[in-house]
Amino acid sequence: MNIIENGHNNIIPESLIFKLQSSLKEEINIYNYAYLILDCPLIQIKSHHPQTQNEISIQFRIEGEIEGSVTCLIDTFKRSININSEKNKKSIFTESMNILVGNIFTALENNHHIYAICSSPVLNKNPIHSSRDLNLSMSYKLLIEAEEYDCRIIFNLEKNKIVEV
Amino acid sequence: MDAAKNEYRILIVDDSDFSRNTISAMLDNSRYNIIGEASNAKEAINILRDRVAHIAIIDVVMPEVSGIELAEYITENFTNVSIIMISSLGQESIVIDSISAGASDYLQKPFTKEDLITSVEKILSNISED
Repeated sequence: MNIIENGHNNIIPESLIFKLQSSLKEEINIYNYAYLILDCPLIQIKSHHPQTQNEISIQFRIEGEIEGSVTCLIDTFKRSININSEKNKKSIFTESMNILVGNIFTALENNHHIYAICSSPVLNKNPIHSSRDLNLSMSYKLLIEAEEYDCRIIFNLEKNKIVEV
Repeated sequence: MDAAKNEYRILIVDDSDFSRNTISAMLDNSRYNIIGEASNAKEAINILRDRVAHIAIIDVVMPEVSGIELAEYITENFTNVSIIMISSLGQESIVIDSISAGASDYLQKPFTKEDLITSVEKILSNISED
């Protein structure tokens, strides 16, 4: 396994980033109600933009051969959402992210033999912290009822497990 | 069993409102009677204590009690209930654990209406033969 170091003394297995990247789907049809379209591929980041007031955040714990968390943020800026539709769209967003993350880790094992599973999603009300080890970010567009939402997906992965992959 | 209207009774267990509603809409058919929707294992068991079900469709990843633990409990305590496991995760070991827990089939999300109905009908044909 190739291991490289960045300027912050983080140990980063470059192959893991490639393997995660190759496990992404360009598009996912969420039961014909919503569509996820890859907007920005996975990149390594040193820090990330804090959650804005317009973003809804949910988080998954990751366990297995890699550990950490995945935080998904949907930007609801300038969206006219009433109380009922907000609840419904939050539910669609949460399940869409659940499907996206679950499908990524399934492909990661099927294609690269790295086993990891995600927890059930929880609404995240705490600030998102960057991992000291490996932070990755990507974005998808979520299309629901002709409206388009920007979704940021941030992987915070722990080093101790990654080096064993 | 006769294929009478609403004869086949189905329970849906998933912590996602959207997922439960989607599955219920996929099974909106005169052959199926959705006897209840549960967001966790406790609710599911309470429904099964009150009402007869032929099939339970259960999400694998749920808070507190997992879908696989619920499947084991149902297999032991509600022996006439067949189980279809569903999850966004499709790793082989999870599928094997689900089948070991008593599930008859496993569908990875997002599945199509055709996938779900094929799975349900396969189980119902086995019930009919019994």
